[in-house]
Amino acid sequence: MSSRTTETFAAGGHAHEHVSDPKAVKDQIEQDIYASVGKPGRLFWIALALSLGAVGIGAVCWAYQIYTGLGVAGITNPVGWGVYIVDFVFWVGIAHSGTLISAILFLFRAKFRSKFNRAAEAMTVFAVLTAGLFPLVHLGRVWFFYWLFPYPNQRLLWINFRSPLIWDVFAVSTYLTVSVVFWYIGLVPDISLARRLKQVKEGKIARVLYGIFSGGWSGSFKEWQHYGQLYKYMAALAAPLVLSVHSVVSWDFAMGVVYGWHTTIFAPYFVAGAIFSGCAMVLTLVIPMRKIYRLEKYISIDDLEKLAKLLMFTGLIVGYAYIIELALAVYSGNVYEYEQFMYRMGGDYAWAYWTMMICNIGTPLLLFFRKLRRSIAFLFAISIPVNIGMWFERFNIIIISLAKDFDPYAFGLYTPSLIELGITLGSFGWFFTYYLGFTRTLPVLSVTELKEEVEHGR
Amino acid sequence: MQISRTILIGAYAGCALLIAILEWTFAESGSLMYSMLFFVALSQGPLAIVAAADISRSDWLRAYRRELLSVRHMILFVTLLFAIFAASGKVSLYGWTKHPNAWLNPQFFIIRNIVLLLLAWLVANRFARESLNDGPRKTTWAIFWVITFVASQTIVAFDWVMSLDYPWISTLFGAYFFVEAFYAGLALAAIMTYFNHHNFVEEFSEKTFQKSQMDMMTMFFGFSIFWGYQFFSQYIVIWYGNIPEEVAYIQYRLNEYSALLYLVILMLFLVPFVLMLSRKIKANPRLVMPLGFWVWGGILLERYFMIGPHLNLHPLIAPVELILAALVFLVTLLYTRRAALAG
Repeated sequence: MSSRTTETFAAGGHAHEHVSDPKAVKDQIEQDIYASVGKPGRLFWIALALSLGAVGIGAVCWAYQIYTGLGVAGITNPVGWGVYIVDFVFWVGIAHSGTLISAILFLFRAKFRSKFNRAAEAMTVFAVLTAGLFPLVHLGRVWFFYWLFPYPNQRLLWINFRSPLIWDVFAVSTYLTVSVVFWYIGLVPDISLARRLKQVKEGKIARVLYGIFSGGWSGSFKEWQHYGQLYKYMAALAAPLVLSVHSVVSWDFAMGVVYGWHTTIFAPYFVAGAIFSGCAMVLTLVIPMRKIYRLEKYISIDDLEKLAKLLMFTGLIVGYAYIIELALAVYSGNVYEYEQFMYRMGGDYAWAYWTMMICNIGTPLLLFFRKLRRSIAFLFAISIPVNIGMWFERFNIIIISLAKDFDPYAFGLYTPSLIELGITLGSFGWFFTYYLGFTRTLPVLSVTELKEEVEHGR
Repeated sequence: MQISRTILIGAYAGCALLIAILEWTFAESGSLMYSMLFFVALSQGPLAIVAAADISRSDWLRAYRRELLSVRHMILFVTLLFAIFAASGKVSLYGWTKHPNAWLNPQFFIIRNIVLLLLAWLVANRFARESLNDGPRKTTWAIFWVITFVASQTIVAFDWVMSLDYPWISTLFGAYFFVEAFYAGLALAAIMTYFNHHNFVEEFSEKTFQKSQMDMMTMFFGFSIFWGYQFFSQYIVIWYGNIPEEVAYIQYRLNEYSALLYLVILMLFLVPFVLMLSRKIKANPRLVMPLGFWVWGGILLERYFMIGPHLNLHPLIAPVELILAALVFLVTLLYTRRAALAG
């Protein structure tokens, strides 16, 4: 049986490591990973206060909008979809890397996934929960949101199944369900393990909750056998969702006859963009988490470099799509398409277009340099412009296309109102509040998988 | 079967000469484009699979590396075919030649395609050498190959096929082509699994090869889904948008070739998808081989669906040229493989 000390765990299992008792190594892993579960430090409370403060601002803004009406938002004619829909697409995009890392990389047997899967899956669930808010925020009478679902009703009305917006309701709710189930299945053995922890034993409520969610897991051979099968099938089931969800989101736009929206490359291009932004967000979250919870020996620079390569790869696909869209707008000779792209590059929102181009095409190219790819500070630094660039990508698609379509009579500009920006800020607070809660209540790395690696060698 | 360099050169020159005679004799038909379109996928896609494995440092490729890299000289033959196509004046079959513009004019069309195909051949050779020798710059050349491959397939899609319906556009067309080329490469791997099984097992252990085969066939299965996804993504947007100048492309083909369209979906998606759900089929070389040919057949039919309405394909010449090109493909495969084995 191969084994390693935790000191050399992150080094990737090279020959120079010295052999020690595998049980001691596994105990050490448990101790290190579960260290974050328990009494939080001052930094945690500061971060939580900031996040909750942002949630508060968002909640006040939304309450004001519900009370006053949608007129307080900047959306107007012809730009009827504003920052709310930008935020919706942005957060659905962020949600993508979780399934990619958990399901696709699992099926590809890419071992570095075990360093990110828990955090990425949690991020997925919280990002979908955040994204799901925006169609509601965008509703004038939010209390009628359930009209989006098909159900027998007195008015004998049926939802319009031919509308891509309804496809979206199904796609996103399916994605949320599968992501939660997949995340939970991965967590069961770790939750069961958490019951043994000293700090959990002391807290009555925590003990009961961990007990309930561990679902009577005893760790028998038979249970592990079923668990392995179930996890594999869930991964196979979740993999096509990576393609489907953001494709459906892209069709919210591509099905419409609006230049800049109606284009066939949108589905794969949105999927690549979503994975791109998702990987960037994983870097934004995992790098500080690695430092704060002292997980350097588990998440090595080699693992981060692999994620950086994935970021670079998806960035290149996004860049390809930008170039093709632009090139074919010129090639086709279609005046509306051509004008739309010229307007993007040199019109009222050119600053947003070039921010997107620099952040999404320029910055990932720097990752071709190995030195930069292996610098943790640089990886963290680059993840921020990619997040910004991807937000602006959605801004450009949605707002610029609506601001200038066919008839000059219907051209119009849009400026986000403070209420819209407040709710956007609130969404970030909402997401980070969940994430902070996660880091304090559940193991941030999959202890089961790390122990498996000790058992089988890598 | 031992193929020497003389036989290889003889096959290239002989088949090219025969095809040239046919092309000059049947001046009204653009049949040659049919063979070019099929073999441009088959000569580049397999190399992209090796590049993907080299970049991601995956070990699932192992047994197939040499076999897949053996197709690379076919790129040169496709370049030769394109030169014959251009020299025999077939570019004039493209409607835009009557109203040329800065991008679509015969001279630039011919030059950029020949340059790009030759560049692809040069990069493919260099990458193959690095990959076979496990050279230090293997990953760098794999990246160069992927970039060249994507550029080459995109230009082929836009120039050779999409421009037939100018000014009709589909931004997905380029990506559609390079995904399909990759799929064609995986079909080649499936065929090789059977015909080269004995050598594979001899070189690697039975267990190692089985693992490699299973991984490769899982990828083949995955690409059947991905093909279906790309097809649907392109179709649904055009159909739903229902803009006259855009939907005409589909409308015409649905009216004239609807049976062919359903057959293509059956061949490239439904049948491979359903059959390869079974682990037993993926593990059996005798069963994956016909599936490989089946997918090639689907690609052939689909390419007819794309260019048939425009290029006046001759019912006899098109298949004859396809057989001649297939012969060259076989000779290339056998020669390059033997050369690689000889070191």
